[in-house]
Amino acid sequence: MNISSESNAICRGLDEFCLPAALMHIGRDRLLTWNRNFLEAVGREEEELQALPASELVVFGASSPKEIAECKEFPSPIHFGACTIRSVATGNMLVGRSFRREDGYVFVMLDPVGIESSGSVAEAKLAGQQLERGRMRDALHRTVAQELVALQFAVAALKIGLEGGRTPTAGEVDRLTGLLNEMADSIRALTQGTKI
Amino acid sequence: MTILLIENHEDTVTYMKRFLEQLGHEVVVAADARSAANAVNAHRFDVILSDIRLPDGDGWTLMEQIRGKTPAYAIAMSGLGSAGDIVRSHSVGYQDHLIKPFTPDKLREMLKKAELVATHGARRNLQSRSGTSDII
Repeated sequence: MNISSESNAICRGLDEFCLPAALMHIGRDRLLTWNRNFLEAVGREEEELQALPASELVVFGASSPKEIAECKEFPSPIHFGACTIRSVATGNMLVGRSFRREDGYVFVMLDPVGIESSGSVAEAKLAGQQLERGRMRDALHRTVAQELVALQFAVAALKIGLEGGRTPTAGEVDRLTGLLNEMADSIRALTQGTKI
Repeated sequence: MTILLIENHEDTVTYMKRFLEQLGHEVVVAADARSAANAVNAHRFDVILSDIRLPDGDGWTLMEQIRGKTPAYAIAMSGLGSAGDIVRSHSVGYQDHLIKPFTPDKLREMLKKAELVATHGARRNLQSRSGTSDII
């Protein structure tokens, strides 16, 4: 399967957002299309990019199974990963994102201003983590903590009854089992993210 | 002792009430702040055991409203356990703050403290009326 003209157009169209992007094929080891911002970021001429093996320019990081997506528009999975490209212009390694199809085509997009490592991303991550912690704490309080208190007091009440020579009824034991099951359900829902 | 239990989690109310009654206390339950305030106006409680998160408000605002009307030993119960939350509980008039989940033994320990305070207070009142005191 070849790359569509739309993908080529997107690659070039990203110039309108100053985003360096390129399309390449791993098996052929060649860059197929790139935009003006990509050329400027890597500091190369058009002819150089046409001639150079792609593997001399782009280094891919390993993508984990979690970074694989299935999409309806294409029959094989897409591997999301990080990549680096050495810039002749600056001498620095540019960090980017790679989106690799299993037929070898790769869409590469560079981070032109180091957004990934900038303070704003760190702040956004921190804010996100704090928000998540708050939601988790709230969800834990609403469910597990509350059910655990009920269970602790149910057992304590049962114990006092037993010490007083009172035999618990099957219904009381069933209710304890019910409380335990509710807790297990809550924990499962929390860990699977369906309750927050 | 007579305890006002302010809590809206059904299972917690059922079992905490049963536990407290087995310990020999009399328990009145209020499921929200409004009925708790009404209960305080209508009865005299030795202990108020209140959840902080209530369906119609919070236990802090409730305590600010009722503190002047009751001498009860007040214990806050909450999943919120930051230093700020505990300080807030004390500042509005709770004597203790329990972080959920807590053990029945922990509650029993606090109730003993409440009982001691209540007995001490009663003795002090009695002695101040009779003009004697052994309290240092």
